Amino acid sequence: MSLSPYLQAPTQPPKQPKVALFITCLVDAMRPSVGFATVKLLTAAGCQVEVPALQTCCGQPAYNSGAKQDTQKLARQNIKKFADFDYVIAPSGSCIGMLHQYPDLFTQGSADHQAAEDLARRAWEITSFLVDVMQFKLPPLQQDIQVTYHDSCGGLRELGIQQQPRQLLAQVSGLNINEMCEADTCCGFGGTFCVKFPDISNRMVSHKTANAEQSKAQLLLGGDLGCLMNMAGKLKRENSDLQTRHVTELLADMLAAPALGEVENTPLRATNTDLGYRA
Amino acid sequence: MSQAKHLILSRIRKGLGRGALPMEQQQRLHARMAQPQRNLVPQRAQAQGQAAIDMFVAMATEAAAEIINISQLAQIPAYIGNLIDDDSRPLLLPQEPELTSLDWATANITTATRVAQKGDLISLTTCIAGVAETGTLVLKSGPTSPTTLNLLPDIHCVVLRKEQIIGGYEDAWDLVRQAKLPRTVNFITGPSRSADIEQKLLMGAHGPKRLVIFLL
Amino acid sequence: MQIKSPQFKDNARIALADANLQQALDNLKSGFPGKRAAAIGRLPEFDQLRDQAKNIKNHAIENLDFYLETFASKVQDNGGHVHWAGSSTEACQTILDICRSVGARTVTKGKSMVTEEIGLNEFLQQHSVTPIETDLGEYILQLRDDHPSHIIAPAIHLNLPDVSEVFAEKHGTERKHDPQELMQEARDVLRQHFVAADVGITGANFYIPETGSTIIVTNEGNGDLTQTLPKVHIVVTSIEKCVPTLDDLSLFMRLLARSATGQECTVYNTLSTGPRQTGDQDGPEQFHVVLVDNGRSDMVGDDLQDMLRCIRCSACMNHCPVYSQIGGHAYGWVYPGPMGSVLTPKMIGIHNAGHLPNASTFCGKCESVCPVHIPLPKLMRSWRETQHRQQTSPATARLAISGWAWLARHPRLYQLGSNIAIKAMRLIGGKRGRLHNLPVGRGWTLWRDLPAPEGNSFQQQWAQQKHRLSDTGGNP
Repeated sequence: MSLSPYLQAPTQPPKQPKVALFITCLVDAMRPSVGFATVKLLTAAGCQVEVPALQTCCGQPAYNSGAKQDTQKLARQNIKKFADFDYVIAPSGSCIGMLHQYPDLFTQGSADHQAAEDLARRAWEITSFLVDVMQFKLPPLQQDIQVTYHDSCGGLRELGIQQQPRQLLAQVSGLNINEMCEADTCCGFGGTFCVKFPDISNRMVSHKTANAEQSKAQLLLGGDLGCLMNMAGKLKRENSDLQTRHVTELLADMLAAPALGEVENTPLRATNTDLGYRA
Repeated sequence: MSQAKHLILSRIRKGLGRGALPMEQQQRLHARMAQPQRNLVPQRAQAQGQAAIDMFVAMATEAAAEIINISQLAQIPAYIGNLIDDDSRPLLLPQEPELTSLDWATANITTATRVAQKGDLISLTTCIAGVAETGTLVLKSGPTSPTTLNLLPDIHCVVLRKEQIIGGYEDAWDLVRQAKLPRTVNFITGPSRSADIEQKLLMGAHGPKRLVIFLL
Repeated sequence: MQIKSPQFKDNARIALADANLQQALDNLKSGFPGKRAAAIGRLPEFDQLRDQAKNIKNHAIENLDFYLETFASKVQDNGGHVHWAGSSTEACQTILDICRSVGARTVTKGKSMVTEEIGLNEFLQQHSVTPIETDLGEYILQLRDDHPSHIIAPAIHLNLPDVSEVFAEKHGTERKHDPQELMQEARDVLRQHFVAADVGITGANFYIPETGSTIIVTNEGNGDLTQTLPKVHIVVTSIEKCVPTLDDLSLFMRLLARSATGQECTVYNTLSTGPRQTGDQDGPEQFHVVLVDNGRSDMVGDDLQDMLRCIRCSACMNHCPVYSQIGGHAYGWVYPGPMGSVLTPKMIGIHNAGHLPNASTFCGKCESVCPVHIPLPKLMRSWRETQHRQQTSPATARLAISGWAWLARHPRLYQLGSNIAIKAMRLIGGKRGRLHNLPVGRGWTLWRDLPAPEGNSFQQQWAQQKHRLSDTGGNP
């Protein structure tokens, strides 16, 4: 889980690049609004966005379960699906991180390996793509809101994503980031880890939600749906009124859908008041 | 060759996919050891002159060593007299005339030149260098400098001359290599300590509780 | 020591409920990581040093046979003795033989994880030689008949009252509550042992083929007394701890303490070369080095070779979010945390240690702090691949993953299944926006809710939208 060697951004932003949205299986099934938010941001940045049909998964669950051959087959499928695009963008550091690991699945020098490296060079997580590749400036947006940001592990340590989402959030007027303690510590999701070792995972997510609560933010943001569902699920179980969303929803000004785990779009909790108070 | 040695070496070679190293490669490796090259030496370990002295003092102080500036060795007995107070136990010295010849009697200090034992209070030794980068003293064992003097007494005093202060560890190894390697080379940075009880730092675990450096 | 790794899940559950342990682990979390960060902040070249250290360790392993033989002959030139031990048993027997050859009844010991690994204390005791641990943490554990839960802070799982209690009981003294007084008590008791011991056993952080020296790195000074006062000094070290030259050693001295405790330098870095020399008034008369293999030579050339770079600094466990919740004992054997999850299966068998490489979220923090860049998540994954290949992982999990992967390669079926699952989840949880209880995935809903899917899948909605667009001639 070291920083990917395939992260070279061009010095000049590309003009109207042809971009494939890699929707990722979790966003596809659980939170389509993140997909639409991503498309909106990409379009605003001047990309020609397409969504190749019949997408499934990056293969990470198989890879991390030791099923290497299954992973290779899935990797080949995705390499083929995304062959004809300038860039492949997903609203997930974890899934893009997996694409950056595809070359490790194949023998150095093989055609598969070359194709995997080629895909890895074109594969970017949405916030780092907007900032590092497109040098994108957010259109004027006003949100009087206190947020806190969780750094998901895959994006942080495989793709070096830490400043990019914060840079974009800083362009929202009225928005303040209340950094939580240990923002870069794992939330305990870990894919199959959270069901294989539920007790340990629970303790980890409890620490995370406690830190998020202590930040006194109104909204917990992150860039990976797995972690967000884990944290939102814990917050809801604890009856917290801290809401959780994917960072693209806010950046794209698409906050109509209820926050994660909510049935309707309830107002954010008040700022700087006792926890538990509802506006 | 012992059976175990044979098995270990052959497993390693099997893993490396080769037999014993070719002679030529062995010679290269022998040469690497005979003329050892320095790796990256951090900026801070390249300090010289007054900068090195200042860094040594700052780092040693940070490591809880006590620094006493002196202009001549003859000042030491009075300082040690204060450290000993009215304890009657002797000051242990190495058999080095520059230390044994000091006027200990006037300061009312009894001395002994022997190895240290359980129950000893204080020793005074020389050293071969002070490493600026971490405020570390370098001491060698030898016929006139028993290692126990550095370890057993409650208070260890060391004479360090400013010209002995060097930048980094590499400089220390160069000094050590000038003669046959002694049985023991001690790099000592501050007094003994432990954090084994609840991670709280306590001074004076098994080695000296105080490390006093007379900087000449 | 008794292997408890197969009960990892139970061990972890017990650890999570142990308030005393949780309090002790808070000391770890609030200590080492912050100190490490501060120390590294003061050494701008730290990352370059890491790269060089990785290269030197790789070089040492690629020439390990040569360096071992060179080291051994240097030790002999210096008047010392070298013993090669393939297994734990061989190592223990060798050490016992040396002890017996000088009629030793008690031996003092400096802190050494290799001696924990080979089970030396139990072995010596069974053969009427009494080992005395002298590191404060190890001494406390020995009195409690306990084992280390951390490789450099062995008693990290204990609190002050635990120490007070065992000292009062075993020393027959009044119960003390001041840690400084407790340490003084240990100092006084152990002084007797240091002086009385016939043999002193230490580990070695590194061995140096250039000079035939070994080095120990400590803060207390116990290792130095252990190796200086008795007649015989035995160094027990493992074959991979090779650092070719003293100049190479400088690099590791700069990395080890900073990565471990966050110190600029540990108090005592002591280089030992042979027995006492002509004219020396102190120091051991005999110097023995026991080179322990115990599975390491098998790692050369295989998937786990990178692990041989490990310098046992403990940074990986100090920063591990799993270790910091459950502590070291839950791992059930000598080496805990991420490095242990790689090493332990090699030493006690993957059939015993199967949970360990799985008990990681692959968050990657361990690798990010490793001073020699060991790709710990990758090595843990390689164990998972072994388990999958040998079909030793749980069959249900294996079938589920393979079935799911098969489905993911058949996108139309996958989407059908996915859409059915979405509908089902919305049916169960739609009213509340979340699911409180799931028949499958109980591990999730035991502790947290599952946010319900928003509606139809993105791909469905996207296709519908495109369809509408094409119906209206492209104008929305």
